[in-house]
Amino acid sequence: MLAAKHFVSLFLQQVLIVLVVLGLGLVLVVGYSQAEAQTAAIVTQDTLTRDLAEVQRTYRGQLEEYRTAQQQFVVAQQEFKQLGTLTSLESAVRATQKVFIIRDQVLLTYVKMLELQVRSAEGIELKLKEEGLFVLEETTKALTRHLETTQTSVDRQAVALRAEDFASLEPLYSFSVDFNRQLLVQGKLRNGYDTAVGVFTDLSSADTTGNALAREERTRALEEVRLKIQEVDLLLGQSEAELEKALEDGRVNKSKTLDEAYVELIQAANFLDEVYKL
Amino acid sequence: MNLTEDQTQFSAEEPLYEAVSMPAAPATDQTSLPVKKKWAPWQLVLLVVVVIVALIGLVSALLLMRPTNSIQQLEPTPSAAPDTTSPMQQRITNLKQEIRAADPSLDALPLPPVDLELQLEKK
Repeated sequence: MLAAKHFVSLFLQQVLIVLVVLGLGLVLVVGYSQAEAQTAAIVTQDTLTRDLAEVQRTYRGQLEEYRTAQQQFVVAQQEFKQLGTLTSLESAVRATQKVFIIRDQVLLTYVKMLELQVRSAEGIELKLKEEGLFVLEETTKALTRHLETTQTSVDRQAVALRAEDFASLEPLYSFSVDFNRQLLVQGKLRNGYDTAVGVFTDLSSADTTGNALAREERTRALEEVRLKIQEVDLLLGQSEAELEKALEDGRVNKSKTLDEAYVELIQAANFLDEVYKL
Repeated sequence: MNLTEDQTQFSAEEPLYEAVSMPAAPATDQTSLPVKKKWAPWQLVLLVVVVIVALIGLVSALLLMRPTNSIQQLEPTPSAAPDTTSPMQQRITNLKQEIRAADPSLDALPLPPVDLELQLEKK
């Protein structure tokens, strides 16, 4: 009997040790994987920020180049109009080719900047984000093709054709840029909405002191805030539907819905402030 | 002669080198070395704690005894409204800032100032 008890005690001890070791192992593995994920996220965010800063620098430099090239283009064009000589024509063609090339470079860099911002933005619905990035990619391809063709276009006809080519790709560029800029605003407002919901939840669950009258006033105020936040959610949903429709139509209209959502959200934040001070 | 019986004689006359009976020493085992008493774990822990506390006390005392800077440190004038922002108030303030940054009328990424209708010869 005593031996059996001893055996059971030993067995339980061993089981306990194994469980403790397993638990520690689990904690270590989970902690390590979480730390890895966190590090990866930080690294990704850092890389994006660094890339964005670099692209912004390139963009500023290219804009300077573009301004100079555009001035030269205007001067060369005027000279050609006034003189009508072959030399002035050659200068005008060269100046046009140069300004076309730099314009493509500026637009490509701008699209890249937009892409980096959309990629790192939070609060954007995944499907819309993917669509946004897809149209930006298509725009990049089209602009790159145009740039490459322009670099080899040296005569008057070829340069004139590049102007026509650009006119045909411009709608794609404008659509992708407008769509993604709207996506960025949508994401920021959705983030603001999420934060507001968090604050509202914590304020609602906070212990309230004071008399019954004050408590009732606070309850009514919180209900108003809830309705306001709900309205923001509806408007943001509506805006998302508008963006989906824009993808079908291939045209982005300036969204009044986002303006309304912004106004409602600011008001909700002010209400939250008031409720807190009640 | 029995000296003890003669009361006229001094004790100093007792014979020298007479064996004096000493009290018997406690019997000890001369062959075995004294055994060191082992420290119990709780005693070791206590010792470590005591050492740490003593070290902390020593360091604190040294720090306190350091001569203070004779130049009187300037203290900022206490502001009329001390910062008593609670975490919730801070969250609401941050929320407002976050929303303002999302203002659709603010153009975080303005369109590039380029002419999209450039042509070699304007029609």
